[in-house]
Amino acid sequence: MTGATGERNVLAVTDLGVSYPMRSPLLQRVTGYVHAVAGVSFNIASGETVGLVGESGCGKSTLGRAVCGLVPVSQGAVTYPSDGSASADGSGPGRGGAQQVQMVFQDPFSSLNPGLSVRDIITEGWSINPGLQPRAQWDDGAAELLSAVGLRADVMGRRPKQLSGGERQRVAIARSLAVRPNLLVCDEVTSALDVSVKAQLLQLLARLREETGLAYLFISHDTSAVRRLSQRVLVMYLGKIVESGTAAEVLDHPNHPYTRALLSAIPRLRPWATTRARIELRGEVPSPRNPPAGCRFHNRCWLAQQLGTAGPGGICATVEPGEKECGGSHLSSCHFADQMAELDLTREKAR
Amino acid sequence: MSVQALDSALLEERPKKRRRVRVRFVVASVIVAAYVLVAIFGPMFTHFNSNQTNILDRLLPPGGHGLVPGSHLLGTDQLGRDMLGELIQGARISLVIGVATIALSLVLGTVIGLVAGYLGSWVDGVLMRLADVQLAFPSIILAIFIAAALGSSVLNVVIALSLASWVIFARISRAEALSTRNRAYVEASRLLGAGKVRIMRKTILPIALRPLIIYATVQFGFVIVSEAALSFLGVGVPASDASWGTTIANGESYLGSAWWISTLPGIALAVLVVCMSIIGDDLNERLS
Amino acid sequence: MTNYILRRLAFSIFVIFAAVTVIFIVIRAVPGNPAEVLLGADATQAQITALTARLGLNQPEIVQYGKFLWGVVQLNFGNSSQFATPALPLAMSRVGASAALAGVSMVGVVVVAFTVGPLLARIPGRRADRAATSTLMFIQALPPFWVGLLLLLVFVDHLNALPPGGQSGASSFILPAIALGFPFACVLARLVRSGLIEVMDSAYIQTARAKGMSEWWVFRKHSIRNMLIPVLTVGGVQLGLLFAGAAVIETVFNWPGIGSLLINAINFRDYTVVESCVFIFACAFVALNFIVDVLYAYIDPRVRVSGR
Repeated sequence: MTGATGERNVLAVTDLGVSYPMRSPLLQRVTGYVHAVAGVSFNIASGETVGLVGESGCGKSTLGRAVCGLVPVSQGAVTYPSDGSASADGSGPGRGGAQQVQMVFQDPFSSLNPGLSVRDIITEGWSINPGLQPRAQWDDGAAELLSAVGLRADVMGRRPKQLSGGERQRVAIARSLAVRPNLLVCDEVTSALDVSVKAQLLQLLARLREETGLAYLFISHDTSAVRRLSQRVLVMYLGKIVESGTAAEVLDHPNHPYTRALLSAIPRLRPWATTRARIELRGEVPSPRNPPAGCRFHNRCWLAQQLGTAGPGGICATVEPGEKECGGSHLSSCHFADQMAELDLTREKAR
Repeated sequence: MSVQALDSALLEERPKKRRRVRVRFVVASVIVAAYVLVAIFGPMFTHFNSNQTNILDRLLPPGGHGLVPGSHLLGTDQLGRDMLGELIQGARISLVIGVATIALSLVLGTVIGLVAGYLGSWVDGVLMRLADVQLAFPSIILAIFIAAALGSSVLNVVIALSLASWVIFARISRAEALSTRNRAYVEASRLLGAGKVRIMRKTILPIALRPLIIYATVQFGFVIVSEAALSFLGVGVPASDASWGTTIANGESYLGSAWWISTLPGIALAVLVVCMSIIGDDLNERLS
Repeated sequence: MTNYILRRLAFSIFVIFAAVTVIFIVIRAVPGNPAEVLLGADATQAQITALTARLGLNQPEIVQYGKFLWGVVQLNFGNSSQFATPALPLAMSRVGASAALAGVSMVGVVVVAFTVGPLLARIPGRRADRAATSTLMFIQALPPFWVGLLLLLVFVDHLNALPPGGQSGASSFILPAIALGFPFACVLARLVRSGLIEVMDSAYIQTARAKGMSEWWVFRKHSIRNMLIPVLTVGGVQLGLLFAGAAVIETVFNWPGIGSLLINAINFRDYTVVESCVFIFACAFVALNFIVDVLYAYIDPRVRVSGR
């Protein structure tokens, strides 16, 4: 199990699996399953920010939703240890479980109810859970939240369509904060925003963390944003976590071939100054319906292809790698994790 | 100035589009309001007792004078009853039945549609099969059938017409539920702890109301014409109540001699229906 | 495509089955004991009991339902209480007159709509155009049975130009067909008009004109095909409604169709005939919807894929 252990965890994910049944069109018979998340385990400590990266379709959003209790869990468990008995059984956020975790969504344009004013959006959580804030203090509380996210109090009466994308995301954050969660799942929250607005939002998230001790699960395909905000990073591929460790460990010294390929794709500011060449992945993108045997990445893995272990009978094609330690808290699920350092120079030079 | 602030400032600046209220909409609304007023305060408009039959005064043409003092503005029917009074009675019946039916079928249809659309899976399947049953029958035949079976009374007419018209409201609210339920803000509400009922009621329903109201005005016309048709055929309100349809039926045998008995209620009905459809049409343009 | 047809067929059968169930339920909702009603007010208790047993009315509902279903499958609805002949064949014999009326009416509707529609589409000036559309809407909202009475009043009583009702030769079709079809003629005319307006101004028509093709050629080649889809959809529905509206119009004009038979049977408490008529209406309506669905799928391939 990766991550911080023990008492002050706000989230404990144990062997989580989320699968969707596929049905035939006529009789609705179940013909197979899409394993969006296939056995994931990690913890998040109080106040910690864990980044989750991976390409589109790897299951990060599904994982984020499962953490919130928005999708049913097919296997394993999601628990919130810091609140004792509260745990999400996956049938949906219950009254008790809901406030531990909140989520900020990717699309600022559809995450706010267009028919409500900003004030009503923010106070919705209090309207649903009357114990949190007495009605007399709703307006004051809302104003406070707005200033905490850097908005002027006079936006309270506005409708979402009168706000810009960045402002909407701030309102969404304020809405989440209203129910005092311990953990905020940020699902691609900056993807729909302009570059300058992105930076401001990240600043806001960092500041909120300092002020309130909020933990984040920061899901993004933007590795530089993840680098900026996260203490630990998880790399996900086809429903599984292939690498984890501190941000520095994973992003500066990636150990898994997939992570390497992912990071090499980041455009460099000074391409001529880098020794790291762009790694291209060859091979068909597998479908979550039918993941490859052995290591899930083997049919696209540049390392396996080079070492010749990707063919039938090769170790990568037949045996699923376990997590191997690579120093500190750095874990990588690759058969050759411990030999990565040596393969390093040979690999890069050849391409 | 930051990009964001500029952005918001521009959004504020955008002028609101003004739409002119169309003349025919105003005229239609005024007429409908007049109908409602007349129906409520009816008896004050005529000093004749509309239930009083007076055989000696039968079949008087509009403007005629009978033994009972005063002029019958619109004539009398075959039993000597004042036509104006009959028309006012008819207006009451039509409006009451129209409003009651729309209310009942709207509520029934909306609830079923919301539940089917939001909950999905087998609930949706069952409820929609129920709705599909209605596909087998042309509405008027179904209404005739049910009304005939239940017997002549205002309540039965309301029930029969409601059963024949709820499906469209169910379809509309189901469609809205289906398209809204996956929006991010619905998920956000769920995450805040909102239960299914609350989401259907507070989030989806307000959005569905718009097309529902528009359709309700259209359906109103269909309902009152159907009620008149049912009464005309003898399966609607009891013959003793002066529904427009009943009055028209009564006048059938006197078409040549006392045309006003059948003609006038029809005009009253036609004008009301046309006004309602103008209102519905205009609302449709305005709100979509 | 066959898949789609089969699915719609299965669905239609289900709907008819559901309709039969509804018929059963509604008939049972009638207050009072049918046996009592049939025997009249002066029947003795013994007679009532005997008839009740003979009609099987004292068996549990589910058994009655089963028997009813079995009867329906064999197309046996029992005998008419008025005429003591089998109910369903009696009802079927009247379908011809209704169908003829509906057919004539539909022809009239189409002719009027496709004549008036294009004319409306070419009206110059927005005011005149709005006035014309408003007039159409007004006519459309008039209650059909009342219009029927008016027509009788004017053409038969006052002008004595047309026969007074009942099916009696070609001219007797005119008034009821008008009364039956005028709302649909209005709807269809407006549809044709808006379809034409939309298409006539569209880009590819402009191109054709720019190429130098004549207006008539443009109209023929491009406009008609594209107008057909929405017109077909609405037209299909309207035909079914026409059939249904017949019940009221037939009564007004004394037309010997299935609609007037239904009303007649209701008034005489002839349950088996009522059931038969409603059943026939349901089957006809379902069959019509099925045909329209298939035709629609034929024209618009997207429908086949989505399936609904």
